[in-house]
Amino acid sequence: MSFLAAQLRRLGSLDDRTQGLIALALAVVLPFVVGRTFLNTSLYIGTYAVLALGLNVVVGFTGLLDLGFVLFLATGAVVTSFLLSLTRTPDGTVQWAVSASGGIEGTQIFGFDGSILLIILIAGSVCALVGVLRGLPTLRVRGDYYAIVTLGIAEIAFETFLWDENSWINFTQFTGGAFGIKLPRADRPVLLGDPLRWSSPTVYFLILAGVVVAVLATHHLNRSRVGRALAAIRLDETAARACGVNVNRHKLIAFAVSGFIGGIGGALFVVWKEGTYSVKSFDVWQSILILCGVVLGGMGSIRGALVGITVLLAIDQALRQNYGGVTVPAEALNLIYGFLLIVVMRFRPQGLLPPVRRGRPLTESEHEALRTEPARLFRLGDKDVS
Amino acid sequence: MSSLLTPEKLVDALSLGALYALIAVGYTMVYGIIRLINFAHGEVFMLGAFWALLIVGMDEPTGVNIFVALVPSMLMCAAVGMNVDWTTYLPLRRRLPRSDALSILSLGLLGIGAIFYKLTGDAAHVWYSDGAHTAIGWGVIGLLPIVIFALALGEKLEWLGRSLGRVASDRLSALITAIGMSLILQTLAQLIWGAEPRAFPEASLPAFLNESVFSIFGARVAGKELVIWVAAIVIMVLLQLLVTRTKIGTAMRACSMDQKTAALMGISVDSVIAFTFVIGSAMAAIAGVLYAVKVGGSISFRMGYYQGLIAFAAAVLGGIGNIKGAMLGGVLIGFVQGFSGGGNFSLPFVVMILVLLIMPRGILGEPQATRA
Amino acid sequence: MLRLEDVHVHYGKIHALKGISLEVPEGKIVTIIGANGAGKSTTLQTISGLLRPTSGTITYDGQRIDLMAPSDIVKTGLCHTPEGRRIFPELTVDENLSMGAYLRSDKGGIETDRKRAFQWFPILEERRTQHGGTLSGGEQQMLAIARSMMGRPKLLMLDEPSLGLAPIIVQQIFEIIAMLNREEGLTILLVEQNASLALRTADRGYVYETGVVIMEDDASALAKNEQVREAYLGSA
Ligand SMILES: Nc1ncnc2c1ncn2[C@@H]1O[C@H](COP(=O)(O)OP(=O)(O)O)[C@@H](O)[C@H]1O
Ligand SMILES: [Mg+2]
Repeated sequence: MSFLAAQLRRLGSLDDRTQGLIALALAVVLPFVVGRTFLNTSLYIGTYAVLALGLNVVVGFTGLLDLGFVLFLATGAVVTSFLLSLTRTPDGTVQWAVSASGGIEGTQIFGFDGSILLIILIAGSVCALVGVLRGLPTLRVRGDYYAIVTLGIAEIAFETFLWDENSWINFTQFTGGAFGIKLPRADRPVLLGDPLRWSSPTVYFLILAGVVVAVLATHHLNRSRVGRALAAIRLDETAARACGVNVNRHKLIAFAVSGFIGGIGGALFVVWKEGTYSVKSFDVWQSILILCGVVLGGMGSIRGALVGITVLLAIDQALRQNYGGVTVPAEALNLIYGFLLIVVMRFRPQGLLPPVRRGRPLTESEHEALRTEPARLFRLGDKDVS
Repeated sequence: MSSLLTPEKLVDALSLGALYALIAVGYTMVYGIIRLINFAHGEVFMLGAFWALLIVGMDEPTGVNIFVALVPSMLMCAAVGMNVDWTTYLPLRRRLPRSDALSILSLGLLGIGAIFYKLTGDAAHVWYSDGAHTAIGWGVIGLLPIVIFALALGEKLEWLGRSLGRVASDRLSALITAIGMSLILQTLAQLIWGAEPRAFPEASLPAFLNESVFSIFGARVAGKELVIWVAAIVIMVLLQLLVTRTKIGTAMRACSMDQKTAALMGISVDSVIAFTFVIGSAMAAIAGVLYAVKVGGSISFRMGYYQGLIAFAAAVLGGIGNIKGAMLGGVLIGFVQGFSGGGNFSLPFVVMILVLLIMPRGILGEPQATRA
Repeated sequence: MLRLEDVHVHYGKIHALKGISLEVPEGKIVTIIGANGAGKSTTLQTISGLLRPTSGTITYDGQRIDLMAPSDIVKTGLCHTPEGRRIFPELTVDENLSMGAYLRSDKGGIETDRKRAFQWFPILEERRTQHGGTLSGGEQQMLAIARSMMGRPKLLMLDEPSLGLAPIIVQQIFEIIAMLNREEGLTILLVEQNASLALRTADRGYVYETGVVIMEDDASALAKNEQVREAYLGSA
């Protein structure tokens, strides 16, 4: 036991790059040693890890609470399914049918090998745009409103996705409505000559690549000038503004990056689900689940987001099993998420693996500036600046 | 589609507006004093309806009049509101030696009780027929907060020990805690009372509620609409008097401006905050009961989530932290809802976002610079 | 009357008070002078219970107060007028005064004290229904002192009452402070940056430097002390 602890401590003292490479090496050999159930779970975890890393950009780096991250999962997924189902019919028109059983006759526009990579980029870009648009109304108001606006917009989207032909716009033609989306088998993407089925190694490595890209992107973002500006906004928006940080611009960058990564997560979700899912599953609990992963791991910490979501989904999967006829009711899992949020915030607000923040302590004049600020009700005491 | 403006819709809009105003005031008061979006407020609204339902009879009518049930429901909600503050938000402001144990105990017991209940209830559906779930529902979600409330009140905060000083906890933690609390209450209600919407039994509703009492512009106004209007006006006037004319009201305003200095005046800030939760929650209970009376049902675990968000939008619309603003915002959102046919979640929210774009501080909002 | 013994206070990792011992005898004016950031305000906040000492004891009237809540400390007759006045900006002058008397319930007595405050500061009577935030700096400082006096304290702690005020106003305020001590028998703990004025008003003085008391003496003696003159009185 103590041997293990010592090894873990040694692992913890390695630098980011070495740790990352070790984790990557383990991830590469994983599919060759585990069985199918675990493989499926690891696809689940991988997809949600991408989402958690995207959410971490806003919640962890920027210090704004996003309660509607599921919007990117949903948008990314719907865009992906839509693009995959685009077909050029023999008479030259372009049509789509996301839940047609037989598919439409004709040639699939994104039927070429590797099209999924292009589609992932498009899904990410659409979500980046969505993230910016969603964030615009909150720029002039206190950070708290971001939580409400994101929550509300995700709910609005959830309603709108189910608009059928009796509404202004028939959204069910893109989202499948209550029946869900089911891509025809022929429309599934092909990568490196391999038609993507969840059990094929290509899917595993595609999702793993998504995680790696998200890790590298958020890592470099955090280290860059933008990352430092975001940290300033998180610590004290007013002071950041006073120091000349363009708060609005940097917030929008964070929203865009967060949305982009979320969109990638949405696209990977479709790949993992082999194109069969229902937008009705994209409810507030998905946002909460991802948030729980980030909070549990440690807001602002990349390895935290990875570990947090992994631990959470492992628990989630374990609790969904049938134990001798007894199953935990699904709502009880929600109870656990709520409980987890409160308990972590109370006893370990920095999470399991808090971010390593390099920096100097504040100078006296900075303290003075902090102190003379108007009453900050949750920061009456000292400020955590280590 | 019928015409956009009909007298019937006006009546509907006025009632919805009155109800949203009652809820929105609770959000705004808490926000004004601790700058926290109390996500759990919508759940208190939902619990208000459920408790009245427990008293008038969930399965078989007990014969209790709904207006009689309103009073205990208000008390229960006040207790829950205060408990939510003491067990979850207070520890983020100050560290009290025993409050951790207390809140973990109460939250844990609530959770375990509900899961146990759900497991046994699912295994054999007998629970639902013999009314035992009513009893357990009472015990788990009703009595426990009361007991804790009584304990804490009995020896005041002394029982929790002297404050050990403040905790460096930021707004984000508080906000996450609030959403966690909201989810817990929502899920508990779902586990205990199921997902099916329920309604007050006919026997509990006095006949005049559904009879038309008078008419304006040719639209008949049912007794329940009148009750809602009168109740809302009376409560709002009382609240305004409380806040502007009484000592505790002035203390509430003082605490919302500067808690440290308020403490130096000898004001027990924690008690004033608790009092704010009590008032807001009692009002939410009234709104919850009247809402269920008005729509004739739809008492379900979800009702607090949507209506709460809409009421929050109303509070933002009027200028968060401003009580008059919440009243105004509530009425405006009520009109949006009423004239658009109601039952729509998106429209009030879109209105809120538009208002945020044009008037970031709401209609009557404080003309201060935005604080992060 | 008030005694601090070896009080240490930390803000997180910052060690702000490093073993402060001081005493305020009944009926006297004691002043704390020192540079910005020396820990003067921290001392007052610790006495009034807003901050908690990491070690050391504070006794007032023979009673340990270092573990009490701020509102209980006010009940013992100890009142703190914070730095920067901290008037409630959206309460009227009258309401601000009522908040000062928050713990009292004798309506008659409160009204008498309100009249008394208006005698000291007639300008406040003219501004009775005006919001605190609309007063000038000097008026706000007067209101802050009047508000504190509404609680009928036995010991008043004033944190930099001269901060940012015109010299003539400062003069007026210090006259009132001396008067309160002389005529009402009020014990005063005065924190000031304006050392010469403070030493002229006070009976005894403590000199702070980065969280420690480097000197303590009668105020008149300190005013003559070379080191003090050089560092705080701006003359060699
Ligand atoms: N809220 C706070 N958080 C962290 N450090 C603080 C805080 N308040 C004061 N300090 C530090 O404590 C020291 C003493 O401050 P203070 O008592 O305000 O000094 P003074 O009143 O003598 O100017 C200073 O170094 C200051 O930076
Ligand atoms: Mg000071």
